[in-house]
Amino acid sequence: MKIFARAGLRRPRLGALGYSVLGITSVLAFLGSLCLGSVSLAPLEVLKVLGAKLFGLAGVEPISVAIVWQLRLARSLLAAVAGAALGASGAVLQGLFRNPLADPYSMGVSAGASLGAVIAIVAGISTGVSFIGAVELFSFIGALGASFLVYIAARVSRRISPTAALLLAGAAVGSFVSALVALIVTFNDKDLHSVFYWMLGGFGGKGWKDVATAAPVAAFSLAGALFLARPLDVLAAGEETAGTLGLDVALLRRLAVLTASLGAASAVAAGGVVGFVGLLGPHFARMIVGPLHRRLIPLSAAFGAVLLMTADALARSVAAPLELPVGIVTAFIGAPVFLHLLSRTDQGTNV
Amino acid sequence: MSPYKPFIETNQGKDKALEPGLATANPPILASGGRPSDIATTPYALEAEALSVGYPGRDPVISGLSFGLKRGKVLAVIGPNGSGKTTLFRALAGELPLEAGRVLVRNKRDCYDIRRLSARNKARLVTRVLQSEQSAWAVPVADYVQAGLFAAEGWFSHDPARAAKKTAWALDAMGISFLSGRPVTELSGGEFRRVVIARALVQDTDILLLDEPTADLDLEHQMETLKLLLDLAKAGKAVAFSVHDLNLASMAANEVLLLAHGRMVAFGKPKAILTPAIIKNAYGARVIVDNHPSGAVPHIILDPEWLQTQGDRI
Repeated sequence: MKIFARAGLRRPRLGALGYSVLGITSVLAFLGSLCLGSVSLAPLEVLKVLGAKLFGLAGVEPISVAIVWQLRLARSLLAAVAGAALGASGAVLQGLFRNPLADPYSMGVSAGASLGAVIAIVAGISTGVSFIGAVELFSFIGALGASFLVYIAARVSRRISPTAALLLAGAAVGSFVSALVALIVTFNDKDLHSVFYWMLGGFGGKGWKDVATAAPVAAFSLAGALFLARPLDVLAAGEETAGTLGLDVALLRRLAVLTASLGAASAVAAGGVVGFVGLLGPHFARMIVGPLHRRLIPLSAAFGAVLLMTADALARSVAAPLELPVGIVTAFIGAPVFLHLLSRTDQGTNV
Repeated sequence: MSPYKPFIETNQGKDKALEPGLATANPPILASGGRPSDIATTPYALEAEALSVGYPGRDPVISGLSFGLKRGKVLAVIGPNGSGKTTLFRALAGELPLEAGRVLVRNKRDCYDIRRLSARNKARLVTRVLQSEQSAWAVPVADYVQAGLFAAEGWFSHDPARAAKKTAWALDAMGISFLSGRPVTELSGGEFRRVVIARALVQDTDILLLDEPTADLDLEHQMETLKLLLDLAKAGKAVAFSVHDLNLASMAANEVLLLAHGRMVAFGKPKAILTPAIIKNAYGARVIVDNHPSGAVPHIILDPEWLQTQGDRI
């Protein structure tokens, strides 16, 4: 019997080789995203620019520097940051809800962010400061506001378990706020175009200042998520059992909602409502490293980053010079891949 | 299954100390008549005093219940469906607000009012095993069992070497070392049951409350589980388990607590409690009790004649 256990019934753990492959893939995806765009650049040219900027090497075209360093690098990094935040948030919320169908938007974050963005667009608000735009700021506040509202609304119900109440309140608040958004847009159809594009997500026109505002929040959320890894593992056995094992489930719930909302809010503020990344990241990761959160959360963040970076590179290059909303690309890639995953038997889940 | 042997740790002292400031300040006289300071002399690891428990807006599920759980003894909690066994265990583990009364628990050095302890400290004094649970994810058995260390370690500290050692010990004690790498979602009901009890061994508290530990188990593993409960008691732990099969209660328990409608109907040695009159009174079922052929314990069977005397239901 022992031989059986050793011969492969144990879920394979990702060794050094696996992590190296993943790391190299990420780097390649990153370099690829710098090559792709309305103007394609040779990988060598991209490397030269990076060499020039990082190590002071000479002999590069100024125009290449502008494209790679000013436009694409910042944009790719921003997509990576947003993707990582979505991946980690998705893993945390799936762990909290003990449900592989949960995603970073389960807490009403997307609807709240849309409301904020729509208000900023329709009212033509300007923040008056250079480091953050009104749409970004308002969508961030809207996202956190909606998730706070969901948390408060869930507390009102005493009949169902607090965690289930969170999911239900998320759906209710989400629909209500989405209706508000639709109502505002109905009366301001001149802004329909910009609202439409914002809601489908995209990193067009983003730069270093956006990286500088999004990255710290996303990093904070990711670090917080890692602290929750052990308690989320204990929660796998169910809330009541986790309580008997010494876990303060209510505290975990608060921290998980806070962490995941911050991450999701930073992502939607950076790139709009990008679907599927926060759902796919954890699923991919779970298939490779299994369900324990100390490995699942970082890998889910890494997958989210690579996915969104790649999707953004495709969005700006497949129909160049026209730029596709990145949400279309993630859905086009994500939905079939997700269905394929679901058709496989071993999901590492119990639903 | 190998016989249960306590897991000896070098840092046990550090392990057992609860977070400071959480012990009951100046606790009054206990039900046993002893004082909290009599840790060395009192036989009780857990005491319920005039316990009343209920869920909001409903009649109390447990009312006015007082009893003590002794170190080194196994207590069987029996009673009809809905008599309050699970609620009693939840209340004893400090998971429910009490309408009246209190629950006192002792480790080797102190006495605590369980409602005043943090979730983590409760779990360092009392292990409660639920009647059923389901894992959300396909966690490998060894990792699932390791969760029993959470109460001792908390959110941040984790000693992988010690965890691996203790997990291996518990899996071996339950005879399921060969399952170590299997996902818990792929086990049979009985295998999963033993995984859950292995996790309880890893939690390693002085007080254990097990809700229907023999459910889902085949005959051999029922016997081995009862043996484990007796071994745990022999190692100085206070063990309570709920059970429907009165013969299992009769075999394994040093004492029996009979519940009906949330009240204690009887408490005492199996021979004194498991009589036709008391059982008829609590369950409404007619039984025949004779001595087990071995002569050691009462043997209970349903009275076949009773079936004939019942009127037609349909």
